Amino acid sequence: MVFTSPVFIVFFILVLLGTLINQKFFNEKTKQIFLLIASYFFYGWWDWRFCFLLLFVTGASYLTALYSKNKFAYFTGVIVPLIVLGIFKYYNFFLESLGIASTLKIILPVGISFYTFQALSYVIDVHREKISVEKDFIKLALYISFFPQLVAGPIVRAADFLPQLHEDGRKITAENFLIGIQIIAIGFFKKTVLADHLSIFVDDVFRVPVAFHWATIIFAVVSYAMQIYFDFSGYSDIAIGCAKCLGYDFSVNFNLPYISQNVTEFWRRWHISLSSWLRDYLYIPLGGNRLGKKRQLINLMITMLLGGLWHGAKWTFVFWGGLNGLALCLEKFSFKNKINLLKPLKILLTFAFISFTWIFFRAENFSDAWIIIKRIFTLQNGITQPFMWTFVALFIMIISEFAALIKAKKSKTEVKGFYPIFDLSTITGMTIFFTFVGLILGLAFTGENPFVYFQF
Amino acid sequence: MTISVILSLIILTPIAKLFVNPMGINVIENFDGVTDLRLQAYSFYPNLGEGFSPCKYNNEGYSNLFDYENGMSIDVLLMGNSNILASNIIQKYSTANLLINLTYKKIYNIGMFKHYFATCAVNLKKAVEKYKPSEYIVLEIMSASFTDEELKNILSQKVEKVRVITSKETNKSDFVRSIYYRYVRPGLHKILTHSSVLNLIYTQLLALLKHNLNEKIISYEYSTSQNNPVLLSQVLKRMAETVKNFSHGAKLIIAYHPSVKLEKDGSLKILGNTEAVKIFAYACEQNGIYFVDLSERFLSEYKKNYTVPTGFFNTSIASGHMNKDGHRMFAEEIYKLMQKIEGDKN
Repeated sequence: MVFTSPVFIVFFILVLLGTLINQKFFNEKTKQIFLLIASYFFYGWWDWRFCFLLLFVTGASYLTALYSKNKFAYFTGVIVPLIVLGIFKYYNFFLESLGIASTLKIILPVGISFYTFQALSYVIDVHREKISVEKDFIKLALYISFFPQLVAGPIVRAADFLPQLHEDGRKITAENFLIGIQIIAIGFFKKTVLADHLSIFVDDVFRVPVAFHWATIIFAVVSYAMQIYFDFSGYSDIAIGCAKCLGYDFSVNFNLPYISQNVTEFWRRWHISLSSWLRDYLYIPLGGNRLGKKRQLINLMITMLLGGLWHGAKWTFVFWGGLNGLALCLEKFSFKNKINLLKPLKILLTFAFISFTWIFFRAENFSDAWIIIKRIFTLQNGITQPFMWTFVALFIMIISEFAALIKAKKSKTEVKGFYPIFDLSTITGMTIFFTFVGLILGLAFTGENPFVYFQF
Repeated sequence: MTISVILSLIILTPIAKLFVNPMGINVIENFDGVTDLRLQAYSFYPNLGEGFSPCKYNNEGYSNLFDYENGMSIDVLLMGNSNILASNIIQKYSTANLLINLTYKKIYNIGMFKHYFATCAVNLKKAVEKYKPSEYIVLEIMSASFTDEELKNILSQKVEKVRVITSKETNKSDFVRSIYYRYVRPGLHKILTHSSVLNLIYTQLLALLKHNLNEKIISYEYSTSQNNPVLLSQVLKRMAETVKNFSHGAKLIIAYHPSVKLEKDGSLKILGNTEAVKIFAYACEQNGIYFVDLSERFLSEYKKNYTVPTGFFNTSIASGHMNKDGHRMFAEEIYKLMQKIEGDKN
């Protein structure tokens, strides 16, 4: 059930109605049971068999966290999600990397990377006594399987979400709903109008890079940088909006990443829930910056290489992570403070570097990535083709970044992304909202195009 | 809320106008039989969803830079599907207008959506009777391979009329269908042709429900039907006779432009059934019909300067309708043939 499909819209309306009925006539507990059933239904829509896997991971986390002071229980709680992830996502990859032909065809369960990370963070946080153990299985199961974030994030922390399940005020209200649907609309626009249209051009060029002129390839690489941003942040917006409608809050997952002046800043603004997860549960436990400069470099590289691998069981993803890690290391110890460039130039250079790394993220294999890079740097001839939606997306991205800059300048705070939320009780607010919805309905790409991050 | 809806409709109208697909609810049935459908006279559909065509259709609802007046003398009549209609490019770059510039002849284009070979073959008589072209009738086709059933249908004049947008419709006039045609569609047509926004949303919803407007074009790309030489010859013979009997001495040219695909190694591949094209070409020759195959031209232009005949700045590359370059190649190849025919005559 893809967020942008008509089936999901029907599902979400039914969930809203069901939650409202629960709110009105039953207690919080039944509402949470209802949301849990809805979440499992949502997940089972792809393949009902994987609901058992989700239940298994949840059960293991629940039980081991209850006894997390026991080293064996804690170890089990950490290792079980990792084994599940390892088998379903990386088994064939590791065998193939060792040159062993695998006879086992394993289907990758949707969202496995996300919910295993949520389960892990819960067990670790309980063990670290950052949060108290959740004794109510329903609440824990709902935290891990809550449908807005289940299949493509954001990776919600137990410390952020479980307390919300204990609060009484978490309800569908007119205010929450009106904010929520505006955030959902923003997500829909990013995904169906911008990202999906960009994918047409990107797919063409990345499928047959040898056919294209070097300038067209650069254009496609920039288009992909925007496609993945609008696709993934659009998904996050829909998730945040859906949760908001139901009365729950998720943190932002993207904060204008392409306004970053260096790669370090980029990773503070891009897929925030993953980068902070990797920082808290991998980089810092490895020693972070506490064990000297050399060790910090190693820790950074390990974190980014594993971060790359998290995205997909392919060496191109590991290499992508490695390139980012390398840039972070260089910035940490040499360039960042020594190079004094104009801000726009810094932003442009960072965007160019990040776009370059996306080549490895998007290419089918190293050979394709190499063809793309070679064709760009040797100025190869080929099909020249501009693409309208790249200009549209670029225009919208620049406008929204300028809006954030102006807002930050006015309030004298850090540049932050924000949702333009309007008061829907006024004619102006309502008109803007209807216009926006009309734009989505009229311009949305109507072919099939699943979210990029579903594969992870 | 009502005020907000009205205001947003007003704000969205100029944007929607740019994107409305001229196909769909906008086509109307044509009762003179020259084509099954036509657009409304002087309608304007820039069609930014695939290419861009900022021009109005003429008084008959066809894509021409001039109006048709009864008794007007026509030198060349262009027939075919949406490719020759050219609703995706600036009108002056269409095959029709390029041919006008190349030949200085009076060329009239009645290309229309979904008017593939079978429909044009059936409509040929009425088209020739009405416009009486004096020099050529150019029939554009994008598939040259047909099943026996398709050919038999042409011979018995039982080709299904092109009606409205969905390909799922059949000739069965069941109750729901008759209700739809009698009440729903006229009502929808009235509302949607007056609101570009609703018109665009309606088309989008149809596309979402898998009634893709271009589905037939895609399916033709992979046609494997083998031409039956006997049946095909009968069809072409009848077409040649129609032209001979009802035109002012015009010659029939059938111009075939195949679909193309970019291969992984960067080469351009011609799609379609090449054996069937050979049979078609031979049958044309046997019946005194000139046949133009654009395959070689498409390949050589790609090899020379990486020009692809289909795809636009807002759609997939090397797919969909003919673009500006596709029309240029198409017009030039027809012009070459005309020069050859006229050279031979002299």
